[in-house]
Amino acid sequence: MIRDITLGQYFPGNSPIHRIDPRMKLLMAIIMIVATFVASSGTSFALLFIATLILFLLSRISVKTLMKGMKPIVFILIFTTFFQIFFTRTGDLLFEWRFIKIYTNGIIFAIKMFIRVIVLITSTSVLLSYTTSPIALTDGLEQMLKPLAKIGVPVHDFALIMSIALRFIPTLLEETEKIMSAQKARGTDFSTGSLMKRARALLAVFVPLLASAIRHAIDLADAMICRGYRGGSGRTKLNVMKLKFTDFLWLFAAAAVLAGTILCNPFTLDVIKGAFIK
Amino acid sequence: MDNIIEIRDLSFSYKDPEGKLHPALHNINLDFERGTYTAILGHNGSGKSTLAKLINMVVTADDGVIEGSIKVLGKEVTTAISDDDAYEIQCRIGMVHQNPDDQIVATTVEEDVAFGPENLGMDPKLIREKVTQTLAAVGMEGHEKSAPHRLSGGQKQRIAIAGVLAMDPECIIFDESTAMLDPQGRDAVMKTIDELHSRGDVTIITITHYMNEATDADRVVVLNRGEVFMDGTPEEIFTQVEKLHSVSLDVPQVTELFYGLQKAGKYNGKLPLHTNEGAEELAKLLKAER
Repeated sequence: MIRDITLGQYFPGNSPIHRIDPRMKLLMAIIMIVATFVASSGTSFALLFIATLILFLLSRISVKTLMKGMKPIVFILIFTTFFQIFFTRTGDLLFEWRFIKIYTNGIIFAIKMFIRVIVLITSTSVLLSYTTSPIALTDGLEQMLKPLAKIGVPVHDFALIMSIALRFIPTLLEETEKIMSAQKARGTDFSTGSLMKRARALLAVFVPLLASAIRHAIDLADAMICRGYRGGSGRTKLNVMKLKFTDFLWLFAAAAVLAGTILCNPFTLDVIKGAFIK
Repeated sequence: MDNIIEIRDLSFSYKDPEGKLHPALHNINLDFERGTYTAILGHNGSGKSTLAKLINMVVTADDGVIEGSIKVLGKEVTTAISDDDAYEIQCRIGMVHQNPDDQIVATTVEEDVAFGPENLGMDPKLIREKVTQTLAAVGMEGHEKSAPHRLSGGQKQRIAIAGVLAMDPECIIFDESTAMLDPQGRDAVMKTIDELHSRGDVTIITITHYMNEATDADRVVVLNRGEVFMDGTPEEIFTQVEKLHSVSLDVPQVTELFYGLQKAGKYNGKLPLHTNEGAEELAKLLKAER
């Protein structure tokens, strides 16, 4: 059933990572992104890799799930690794066959690139998309951007728009399904014919869907007014986000990883290099 | 008498974009006493929803021409009313709408019930209490973290009722709240309404075209073509089968059955409104036949 789809890739759970405050997770994700771009030496990549592995293991997300999430980037990953290996012309020559020449630096760059992408994707998705519900993320963003409201940025409105959009995705999906069946029953063919023909068939779904979305919007607005909504000022929240001591520990840990990465940058992993040199 | 809503000589016509008037209500006089349960019956287009929307100021003088007066909680709402007064009335007169999907704002049940109290600026602890209390009152405890779109229509509608209750309203208007529900959902919502009524502190107005739903009310008002056609207790109204038929309104099925028996000369007692009364009467009749 279409209504059973999960929003985003969130996996409900109660792991230590799930319990971190969404605001801290956002900050941690930013720190991890910075760290992956700052890292340049073998040791710093090793550190990042280990940190990400720990995050991943603590989140209790299955490897299968993570792999599924990686699917879209597999191609880019293979492509860049390939280019790094075959087109880097520095370092010592390792292998030569006709025009193919593989140098040590090519291998090293490729491994670094690979780890950089894996760490980037894994750390952000484990921290955000897999363990934080969209609504918690929206709330977290609203809280973090609150200071901007003072200079006239409508932070509350954006957050409300986001959460209502999230709320209505399943409703509108269900409606799409209904309209499509209704149109099918009247002979609309969505699956065969030229692209133009199929696009035109979909128009018969989008127009009623848009009309019903507008109707929903008007009714919802009435219902909201009836329930005393008049903008963000003076509103309180049922669930007040409170930072716990452990949240600060997590932020500290992420900052430590960044610091460690920077400190490790001057040191290369000569072990690996040494193993390859004849 | 303590009237929560007083309607005097009210007429209303909708104005379409070209400025043409479409009369919806004509010369309505109604009082709603505090703590009572009134059912407003009528066909589509009888003006029953318009009446509710006028009371709650969803429909205002911007939408058409209003004559006469509506006093809600002692305040006149048909003429210019200050935003703060309007807001106060909207908070104290709750409304449950027809489509359950269009009144649920949040992505979890508890957040949705909390939406009203949050707007009122209640203390988070108090909101939590309200959420627990009202969900228990509508029989939906244990669903706090559920996603509304996974609930049935009846459950969604009960969440919507909890959301209104959480604001401590003095009056709740149910605007065809059962029209889109399946029979089970309808029963659950009607049971919730009955329970609210038995607590006695809220005034209840239901707007419906299901006759069965009006039998438990203290009072039934029948609207026809924008006018008050009948007004009385359910017994007074539904026993006038012919008068209701004359405007092609039905009576509850069981009443219809006994009306038929009466016409055939088989029954001469009081016309029953509830199925179980009917069953008892029927049992008596069958015994007498034997």
